[in-house]
Amino acid sequence: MSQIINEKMAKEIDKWVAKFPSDKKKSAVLMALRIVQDEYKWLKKEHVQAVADYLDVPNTEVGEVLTFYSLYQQKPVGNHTVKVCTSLSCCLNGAYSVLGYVENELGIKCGQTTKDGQITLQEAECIAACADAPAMIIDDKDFYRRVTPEKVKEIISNIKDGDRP
Amino acid sequence: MNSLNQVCLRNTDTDQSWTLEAYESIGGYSAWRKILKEKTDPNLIIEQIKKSGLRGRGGAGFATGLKWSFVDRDNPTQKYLVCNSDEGEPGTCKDTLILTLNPHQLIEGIAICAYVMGATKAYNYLRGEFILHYKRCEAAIKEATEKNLLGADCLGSGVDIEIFNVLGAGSYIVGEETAMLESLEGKRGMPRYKPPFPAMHGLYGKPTTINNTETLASVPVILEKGADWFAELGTERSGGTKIFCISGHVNKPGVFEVPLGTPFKDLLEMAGGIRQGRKLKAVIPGGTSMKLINANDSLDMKMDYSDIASKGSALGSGGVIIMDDSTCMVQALCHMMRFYEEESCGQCTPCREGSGWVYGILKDMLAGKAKPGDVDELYRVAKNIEGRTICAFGEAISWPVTSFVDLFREEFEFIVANNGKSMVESKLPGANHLAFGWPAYEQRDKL
Repeated sequence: MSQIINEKMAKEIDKWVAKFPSDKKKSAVLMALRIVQDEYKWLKKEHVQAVADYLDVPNTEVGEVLTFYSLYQQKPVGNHTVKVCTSLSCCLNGAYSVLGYVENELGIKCGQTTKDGQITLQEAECIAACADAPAMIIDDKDFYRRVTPEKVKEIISNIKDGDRP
Repeated sequence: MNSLNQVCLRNTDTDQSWTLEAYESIGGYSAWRKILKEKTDPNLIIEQIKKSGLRGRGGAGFATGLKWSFVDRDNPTQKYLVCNSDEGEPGTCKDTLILTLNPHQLIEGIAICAYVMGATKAYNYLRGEFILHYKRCEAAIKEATEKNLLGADCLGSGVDIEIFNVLGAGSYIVGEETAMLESLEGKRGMPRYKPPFPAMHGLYGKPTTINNTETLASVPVILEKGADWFAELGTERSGGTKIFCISGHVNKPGVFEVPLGTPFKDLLEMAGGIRQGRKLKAVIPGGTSMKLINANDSLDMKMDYSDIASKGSALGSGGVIIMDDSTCMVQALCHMMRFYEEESCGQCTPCREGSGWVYGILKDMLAGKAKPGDVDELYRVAKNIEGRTICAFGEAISWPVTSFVDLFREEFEFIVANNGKSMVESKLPGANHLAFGWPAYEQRDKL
């Protein structure tokens, strides 16, 4: 067991490995990276190596996956990510005003992390909430729909309180 | 309104609609039980699907029954079914509802299709952000397996079917069927050259069928109520219903499952009309990869495959984006192209380079840095991508650009001639082209 992938993470990764044919462990690379990222917040070289070793896949092939998919963070990020959807339907409903409002609330620009290391602000492209525009997604899993400046304030303060949404 | 939500969204207003109990209470799994009991000849099921007129609901609109007939079920090798739940076409938010509110109907559809293919394993590929959806689908599979509707020797029929939900990691192009197979194999989502087609050489090189979520979730209802019933809901060449997601500048954006052939006007009315009484400017009828339609053409348009095609666009995924007269078309297109530049997988030169050129020219236009002749240059670059790439992503760049310019060339010429000042901005005081018109929650038009 490597130090990076602990027993709990290994167990989770194994669940994904079991979904694919026994000689196709590589299929679990996507989720293995996600599981490691959930723990360490962003993926460093040694995390990629750990996934490669664990699944017995060449390091470069894991690296190819890492750099292709947008949910992987390749640079340091905060404990939580706030992504404002800026796809066309959301933009037509003021997504950039929402983004500007979040920037003001957090005192950072899009792409930056708050000083306390809590929140990183990013843009997301179409999160399939178009009929509920403008929309936001926290930690790539919690959807917030039809957000308004007041709602944004509430959502942000909940994250700040450490109350994982 | 009784024609609303009859197929994939038929149970969405019932309590806890995602549970097995709720689904069985409306007749769920009756088609599957019947097949298992009677060992229905798969060819008969294919005939029913063909007769129903069901076409792929993911965007391409390929005839589902025909697609199902491509896999040789007597081939003794392992065969696979893949359900494409990687909903990501900008403007589309329909599969998200099926996955969260009606997962059992999708599972039943997957089981039936897998049975027809002779596939014992099926993957339901959900986009990486769909965590709640994933949990609902996992719970549905667990419930169905406990009742032996799935698993080994389903209800003593000798049929084995295992379904696995898997999650993506953020990529638009994975919605392309062969890119999805690559992603399932744990690789970058780069579309494969066809032929060989997935029906011969798909997941892990085995015969594979790939269908969209809405397509598969329609199947149980077709078999339950009959192919004729389904076909008659729609028009002659477009059978059944389709889920349309109405977004953009409307008063009540929403998701509506309506018979194919429903007039666009009716759909617009369901969505409360153009917001605050403004004027309709243009419509994207099937997600941002499809061609733009102007207001006049849209008003007598019927929402089915052939009528939208006759207006020069396509039904696509059913993501209908409405733009009112406060929208700067250059800004809207530039924004769409930023997305395509970002999401191009990069393997075909025309798409990789062309997407960058297109986005670059549009950015220059907005920044007031465009040169005379740039509108023609933009058009030429976009046109040259069409038909020169492995997958349809090339068209997804080419079609929007050429149609935006064809319909609103004067806006593009204006912004070039006026150092980045938008024609809309100059006509409507208070409108800011960078804001795409006004936010819905601000009553800016009272200005």
